Amino acid sequence: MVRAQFLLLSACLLCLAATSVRDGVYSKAQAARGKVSYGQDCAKCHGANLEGGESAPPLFGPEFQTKWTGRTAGDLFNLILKTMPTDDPGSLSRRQCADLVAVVLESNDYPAGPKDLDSGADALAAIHIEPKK
Amino acid sequence: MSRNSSLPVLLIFAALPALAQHGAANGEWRFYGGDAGTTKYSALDQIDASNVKDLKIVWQWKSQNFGRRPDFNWEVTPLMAGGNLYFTAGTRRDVIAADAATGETLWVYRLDEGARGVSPARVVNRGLAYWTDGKGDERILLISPGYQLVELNAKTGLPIPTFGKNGLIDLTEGLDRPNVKPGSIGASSPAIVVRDTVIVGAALLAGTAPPSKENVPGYIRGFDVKTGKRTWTFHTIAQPGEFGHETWENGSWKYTGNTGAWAPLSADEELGYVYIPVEMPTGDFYGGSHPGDNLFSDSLVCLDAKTGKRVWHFQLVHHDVWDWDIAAPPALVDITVDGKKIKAVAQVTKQALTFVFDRVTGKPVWPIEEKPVPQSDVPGEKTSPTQPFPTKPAPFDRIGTSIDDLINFTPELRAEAVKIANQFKLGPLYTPPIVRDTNGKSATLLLPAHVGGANWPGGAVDAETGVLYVASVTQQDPLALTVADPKRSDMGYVGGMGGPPRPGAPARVTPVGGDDSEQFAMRPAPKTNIGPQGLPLIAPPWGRITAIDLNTGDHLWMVPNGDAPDYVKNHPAMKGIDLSKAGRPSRSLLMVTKTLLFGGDGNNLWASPAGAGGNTFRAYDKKTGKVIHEMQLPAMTTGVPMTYMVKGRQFIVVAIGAAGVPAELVALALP
Repeated sequence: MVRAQFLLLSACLLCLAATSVRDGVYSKAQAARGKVSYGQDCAKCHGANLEGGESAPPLFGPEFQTKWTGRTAGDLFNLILKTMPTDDPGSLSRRQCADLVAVVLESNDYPAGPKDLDSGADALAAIHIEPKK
Repeated sequence: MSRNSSLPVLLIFAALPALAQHGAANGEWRFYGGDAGTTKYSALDQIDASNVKDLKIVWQWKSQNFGRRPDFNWEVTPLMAGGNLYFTAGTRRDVIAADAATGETLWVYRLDEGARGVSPARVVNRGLAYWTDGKGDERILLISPGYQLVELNAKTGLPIPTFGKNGLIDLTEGLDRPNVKPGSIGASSPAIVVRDTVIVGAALLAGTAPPSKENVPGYIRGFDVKTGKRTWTFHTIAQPGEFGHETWENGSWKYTGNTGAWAPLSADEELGYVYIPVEMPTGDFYGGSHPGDNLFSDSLVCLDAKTGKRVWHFQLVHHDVWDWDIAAPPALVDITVDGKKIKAVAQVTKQALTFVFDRVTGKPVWPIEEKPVPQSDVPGEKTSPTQPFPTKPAPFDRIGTSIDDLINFTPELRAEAVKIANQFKLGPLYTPPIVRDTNGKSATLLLPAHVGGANWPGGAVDAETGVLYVASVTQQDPLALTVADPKRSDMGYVGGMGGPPRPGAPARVTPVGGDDSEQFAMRPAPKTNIGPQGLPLIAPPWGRITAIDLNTGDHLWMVPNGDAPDYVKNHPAMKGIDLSKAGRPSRSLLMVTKTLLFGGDGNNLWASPAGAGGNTFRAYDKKTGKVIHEMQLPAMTTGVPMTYMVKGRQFIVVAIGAAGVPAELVALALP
């Protein structure tokens, strides 16, 4: 009985945790921090303003929305963590990757909130990327 | 006795200026491209067809701890003068002097520019410039990540106090803009010194989707090599009263920027001329903000190096909306055409054309015809009705797109390729980009795309035979414009590329072996992989080397750049198909000597997708293109190789690196 209650409670917490990038899942301070990393490690390919470059896609706008709608912040985080920057994949810390996700979300006009985006896998996987309103 | 008797000969050599058209002189490599004419040719012959198989790595110089983080894509070519190598290293662009025989570090110069150098316009860099008065005064010139010109004593590595302000000049000054934001302009290629003038180009932020039609202009400037005084400025955007001003309509000269010269520069020291390959204006794929032909964008410009006065120019692309700016250094060579000796300059381009001029007069060696080309239907855009086509030499790669260009390994793959290609607007060279999803087509399929054909590695030219060797990639790319979000850009339209296909189109994933499934699915796709099942869309070879006899304008031979990359070879649909001549989709970085042509598989323009380049370094027969010898290096070649002789031994030095493999120089020599 206790175990069942625990499971029910966990499920509810999970329900509550499931959220959207529309819900203010990163902070402005985090995005500002991420912009420093972005300038040093990402801008050389993705452009100074995330507009894309000769060998890298834009990180906002229709191309971003088409590619990422229906996936999660965790998917985006994992891509950065494992494959970026392409000349030195795996060199960014989890915190840096979370900050970079914040930069991308801000650039796509998703609102900031009071807290930083958590770099934990479960938290990130619960944040769904939905089209802008 | 023999030592003494050689002295007068050496003094004669020292008194004469190095001859631009004759390759690197005296077993040294004093310019980025070997000589001022960027031939990448050396008359050294110790390493030849009979012994090249014995080449070994004799030393390595590692750059891992230079800069905030390692450099993996080191496009440097060292200089060699007086037994010392000089090169830039790492993402901070520190300057290194090393013993050319042993690789031992002799001195290091490190400039901490603070915030100015944190996010440079260009991280990559290709090296340095060298000057000497021939009497013992030797100087090294660096363009820093933050766009400062620095002059160092070549013996000590210390700044020359009488040059500029304590050895430094702020290159962001004098650009006709009240504020030049740090990181908006810089340089990836070195300066060039012609007699006593240092000439500096500029590399700006790429303009796929620029935030504004307004930008910093990439003027070309000359500086006195001893004092650093700016002696001239050449406006690559013609100002009021200057030749070509009318080609900037609607007052667009006032605000348009870019139009720098980011590729290496070339010069003829005898003539005192410098040859400038000029970039395009702001906005790579939409020119509605700057109507007109836009002189001197996309032009080869010959300037008097002492005064900066224009001697001649030729615009290779009028009103560029394809990002086909002039990316390769001009190659200077003396040729004989129909019995007439010509001091020539050959300019290879991204669109796989070779323009050859008399470098004294600018007259084309073979006629260049203005031909009608397809016109843009993008609102506000006004493309040029004609573009210049050389009658000779023939293009060195596929140009324009048609169904005939698609892969044809099996009937099934062909059918898939046709289906994919039909999503796009196809057409001849200079078919303009369309607005995304117009008339049932999602984009224009460009071939070569803006990163196809030739690029900054350009070619190497044999100064004795007049044969040009050029490396190119067969790179297509869909290109479409979208209406710019006014909050992000005032350009009207911006370019789009990469990213996902339209709904329903085949997925762009890369079958790279050895990855876990998650990474397999998410690895960014190589740019060639828009074809069926993640394969290239266009038929191979995907990378090639072409030899062109500039005395006749005829192609001598073409060879693929090795075999297919692993991600194609390992593809299930390729089982049983011969891909030995498919060529890697990377540019071989070429250097030529009296005896052999050298080139590696090459990296790609940026950090390559896994498998796009390769670690093989080859020596080719210059007459046939046959591979005489190939060897494996620890990583991909990322810079143009150079060669020199020191203490009776010929060395070949080349920069290598790869994703996850920090850059290093390797020196090859015979045992």
